[in-house]
Amino acid sequence: MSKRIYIFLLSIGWWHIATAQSCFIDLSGAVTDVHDGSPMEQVSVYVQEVGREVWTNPQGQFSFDHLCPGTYHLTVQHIGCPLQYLLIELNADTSIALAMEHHQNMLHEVDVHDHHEGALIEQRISLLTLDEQQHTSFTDLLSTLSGVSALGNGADVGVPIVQGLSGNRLTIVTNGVMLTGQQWATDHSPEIDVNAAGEIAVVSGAATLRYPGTHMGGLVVMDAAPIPVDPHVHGKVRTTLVSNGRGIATHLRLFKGKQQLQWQVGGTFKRFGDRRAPGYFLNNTGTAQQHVNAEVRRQWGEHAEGVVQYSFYDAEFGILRGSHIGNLTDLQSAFMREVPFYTEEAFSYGIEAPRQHVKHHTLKTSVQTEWKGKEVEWNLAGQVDDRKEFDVRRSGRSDIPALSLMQLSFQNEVLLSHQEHWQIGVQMLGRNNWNVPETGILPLLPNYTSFSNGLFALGRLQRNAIRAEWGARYDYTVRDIAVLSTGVPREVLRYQEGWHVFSAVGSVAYRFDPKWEVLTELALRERPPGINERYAFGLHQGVSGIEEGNIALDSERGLKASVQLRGRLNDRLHAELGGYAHYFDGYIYLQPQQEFRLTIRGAFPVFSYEQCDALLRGADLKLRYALARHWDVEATWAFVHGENRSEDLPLNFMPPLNAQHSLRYELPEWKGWRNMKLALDHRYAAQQTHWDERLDFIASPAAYHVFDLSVGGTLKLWNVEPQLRLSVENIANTSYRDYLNRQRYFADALGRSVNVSWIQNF
Amino acid sequence: MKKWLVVPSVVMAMSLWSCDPVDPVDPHDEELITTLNIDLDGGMHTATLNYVDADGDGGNDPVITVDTLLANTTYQGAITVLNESETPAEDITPEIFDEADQHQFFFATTGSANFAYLDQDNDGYPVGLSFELTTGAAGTENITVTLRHEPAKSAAGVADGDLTEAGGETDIEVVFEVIVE
Repeated sequence: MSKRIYIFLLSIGWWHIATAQSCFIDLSGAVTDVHDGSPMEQVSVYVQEVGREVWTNPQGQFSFDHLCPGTYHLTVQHIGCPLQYLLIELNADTSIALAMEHHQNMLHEVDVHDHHEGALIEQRISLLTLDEQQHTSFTDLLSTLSGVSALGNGADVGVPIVQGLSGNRLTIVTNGVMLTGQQWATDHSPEIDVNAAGEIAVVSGAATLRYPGTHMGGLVVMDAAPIPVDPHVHGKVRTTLVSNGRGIATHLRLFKGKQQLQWQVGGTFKRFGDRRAPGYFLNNTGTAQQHVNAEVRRQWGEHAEGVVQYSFYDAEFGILRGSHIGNLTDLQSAFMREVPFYTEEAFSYGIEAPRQHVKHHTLKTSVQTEWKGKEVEWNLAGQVDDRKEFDVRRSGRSDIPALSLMQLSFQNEVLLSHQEHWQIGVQMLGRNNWNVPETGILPLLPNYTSFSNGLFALGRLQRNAIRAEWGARYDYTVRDIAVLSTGVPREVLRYQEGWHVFSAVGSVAYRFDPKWEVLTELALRERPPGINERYAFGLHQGVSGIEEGNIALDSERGLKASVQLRGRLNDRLHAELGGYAHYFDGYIYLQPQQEFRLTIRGAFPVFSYEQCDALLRGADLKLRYALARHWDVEATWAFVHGENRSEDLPLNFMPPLNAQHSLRYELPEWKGWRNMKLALDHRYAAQQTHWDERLDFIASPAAYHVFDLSVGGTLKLWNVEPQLRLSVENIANTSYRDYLNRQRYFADALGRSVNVSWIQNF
Repeated sequence: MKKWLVVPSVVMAMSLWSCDPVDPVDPHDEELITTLNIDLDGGMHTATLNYVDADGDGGNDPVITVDTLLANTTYQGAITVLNESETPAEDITPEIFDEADQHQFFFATTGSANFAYLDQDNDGYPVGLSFELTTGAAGTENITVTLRHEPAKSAAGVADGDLTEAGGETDIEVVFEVIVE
């Protein structure tokens, strides 16, 4: 539970053997796998200043001779590991030991490293994947993990759904700050640019209680890349060109890391025009996104550190023009069509109504120091979230937002921890959320303020092969709500509510074999109903009905039992098998009412939030098998089944059975290239047969298979060494529709796309 | 304890206080349509079909008033669209008239009445603010009046009042149960 220690070169030690002689210095070393200490062969070690490169031998050893005294930049690279830099000062013959984080893609190695403060069941998206997928949205990227799917509307608009939980039930943490905004709707994408991440992980376990929020299961955690220690300015540029949408995503990162002071800045520019389904354009599905982030870290002595982080995210998303509907008749007639209404032959970068425009600022300061042998940490963060949504309106009002919400929030916490043994903390969370009165439309949500005060304690025990973790958390939340009445004359109705929220998690990991481990976890969590669940009133496009909040709702309670088996066989097969059962008491869901409400646009079904006993059961499976030298195959399967036990009905919008398979061929060196990687990927989703037709007017789409192909490597060219990659998504240009994407009512999912990317480290 | 810990303690103490939310503002929904009024003039006989939902989608139920029509009679129809949640009521008809190329009314019935458009936008496509209704034999029929925003006016059948290929968003869809004597 100490601060994050996620570095790739875990240990670097060097010692002097002989006295200095001018230009007769030897540099030698050995590279080992951080997981099991085994030597790593075919690792490239490159000394930039002299332009020399050597490869490690089967014992993992390398050496350079005839170096002059001075400072050298070393580049260490290996397939399956992110490119790493090392600065070294040579005065005498030197030997170094490097431990590399190998096989990042293989999650849950048996020798688990506690990247996220002791989380047990964890899945990570590595820097390598981030490099390859820098043009995608946060949600789409996350959905490559087993047990994670994207619930959305169109290409870049959507929220992750983790083991059946999303929206109010899933919390996202960026750089230790709980992301606040409008998380209640499935078309409100997390305000995060994937390029700012060094790593993204889905974690569960007791450590998740360290974060406030209303998560009922795991957490999604994003952290910035660590700043390597090197007194020179370095950086990285990545650019991807995407044929579908004629898009570009480009990101620049600059950093400098002195012994006591490090900084990094980053910026992303992303532009996409109309995407294309096989056969036709998806008009008005462009994206315009910008992002900047900056970070400064300063250390005082061995134990004190101060950090300031800032990020600004600005995104505009077009929503398929043909998906804007006025009533149920429109939905039915849209669904009868092969090609959506308003489909045009011409491509455009323009983003017209319906569209979303979101701006999000996050500022965080953090101070850490040592106090009586314990670590003390104080974090203060503020966020501004400005969300505007534009509909097609009469008389030139399409430029006036139909929904305009502002939210200011702060998070203030003091944490005290003792190494890996325990951590306690106190946290305050405040929000002020209001409708900007510019829309000329009765708001869907009320204005409110919310303040939470929370306490938590986490502990950990290790006894031989058994490791146990526990955590408990209590929050008291006070909310003041001001609602505009639905009847005329409009009046302001005020409510105040207080919620006691208690959560506890316990987990045990037992390593019954050096290579096999079984993990169990029992988590009891509670969340007060969301503001939308209690007070929303208005038309809900997702269900094409009138959505009514229910002020009688009580807290939702969940008890989740998970078990996971992970390990490896013969160093060739890595396996992770997991299952869970998640019981809910008072699961909040939308229940169709008996009545239809007659409006001037026809009769609409009425949906009201109600509570039921629910059960989510699921299984996740991940296997990776080394077929031969340089060849491996990986399979990921996920299944979740959601039931409303009170009425014996399905829970809607649960991911159907889905799988990803990939066949990879990796070659350390080929002609003028190094670290060549060839991959064939297969994505599959079954038809969802378990759904409630009262909540969805249109049948679930058929199962689909989609194939992707990619090839990439580092070109040995002068001293530049660009990393280039060519990929084809949806090779066969398959027409399909995804159950979890609302756009399926109107159009097919994306067709073929050819992408070219270029990554340059400098 | 180190002195700097005083700072977080003070900030935390401050954050224990709550504050009141911003008062919501009545948006005076300018696009809200509360009322659809159809005046039918058959020469010797006039009738009105009227739909009013004064407080919009929620709250009280709409009030629908329908006069009896005469069989085998041709009526000249004129549509008025209002927002009566405001005082005085706002007439939205001119807004539709000004954007005639982006709007079209559609008429359908379960009985034997026939409809014909009497107006055109600048491109020569019908709008339907003014139309002709010819009743058939006596009986009861449901007449559906639909207003579409941004329909594909040039699509097949749309100019003849067929909704199939029209697309667009429905701004009004009201059913009148009419007795024809």
